[in-house]
Amino acid sequence: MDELEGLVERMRQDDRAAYEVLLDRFQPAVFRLAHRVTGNREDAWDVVQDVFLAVHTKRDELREVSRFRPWLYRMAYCRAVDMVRARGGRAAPAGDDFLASAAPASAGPTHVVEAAALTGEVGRALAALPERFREPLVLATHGDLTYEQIAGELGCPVGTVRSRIATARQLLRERLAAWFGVN
Amino acid sequence: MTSDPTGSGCEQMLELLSAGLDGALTFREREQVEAHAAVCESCRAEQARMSALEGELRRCEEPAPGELAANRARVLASLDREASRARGVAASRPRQGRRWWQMFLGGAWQPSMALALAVVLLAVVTVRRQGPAILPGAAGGVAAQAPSAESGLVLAGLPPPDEDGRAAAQSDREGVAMRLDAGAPGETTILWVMTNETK
Ligand SMILES: [Zn+2]
Repeated sequence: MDELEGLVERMRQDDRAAYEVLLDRFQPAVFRLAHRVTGNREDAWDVVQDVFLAVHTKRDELREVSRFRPWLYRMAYCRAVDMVRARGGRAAPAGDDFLASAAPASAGPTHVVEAAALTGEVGRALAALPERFREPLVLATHGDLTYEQIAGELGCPVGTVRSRIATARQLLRERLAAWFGVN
Repeated sequence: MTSDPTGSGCEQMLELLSAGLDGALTFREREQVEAHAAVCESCRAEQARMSALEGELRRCEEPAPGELAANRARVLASLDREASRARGVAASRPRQGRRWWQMFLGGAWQPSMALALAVVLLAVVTVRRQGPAILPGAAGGVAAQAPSAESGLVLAGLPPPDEDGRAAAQSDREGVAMRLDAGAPGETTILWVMTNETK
């Protein structure tokens, strides 16, 4: 049992100090993932709060301490998606609406203004992905989970995770062809 | 296959390049990608484009230190509230089949030998359901607050009312016992507050 698993085990047995260490350690990563999905800081922080309260209330549901990170990030992802849905739509990428429709003037994002527009475009393209492609991609890129861990959480073979993530990236590439070029 | 720039190797490359971005290639697969990219210009270009996209995709908003501290405090405060609510519910459960007042007069409330315990019935307060003393609580129940502001006592975890709308709960805390008998809507609700007095 490594250090993290030891902490998780103590947390499961109601050790408040262990819970606080986990909170401090994983808050930033949960925030980044939540922000990627919700597209704004306020919602992302609400997700972080909900997720860490759920970590406490659902600690008995975590059967294996080694599954803590996949379990945590999956909860964060699902909560973030729920929040976006509850708000009645796709994620609104960070306050760049005035730039949103601006097509790139050149092949690459060479100016600051274009870079901001691109960030918004990537957020929108990600939000538009079908769920079965988006979830494994976000868990891999923002949860830093292995394909095996993602497959375990989603209950599908590793090969499926791998091909769905590749498809997700291809769909993003097509949607963002104006920025990243065409084949 | 790995040296064929126009064959099926290109098809396979999309998935391999993607997995490569996640560090999910085996040693053999990595070799395969390198060998193919070395001879296939279009896959080299694709690799560059995917890397650029990946940089954007992984770009994150960072949490500010102040936000982290504020959220930490918010989470821990919620947990504390949750914990005290849970304690309130536990205290209101009858222990070993005892009535609330038996618990109060003996057992858990037994004073130490040095202390004489005098039970003083402080107040019988009647309040109306829906009145200001009844607060909405968790899980469909209600919580009642002692009418006196300085007492600051909260009787939490009153279970949902029965068919007639009646409910009862009790709580004890540091020398004060409370019981709430909530009548059906429109009926009288009685809040009992009892203290022990030590000499
Ligand atoms: Zn090729």
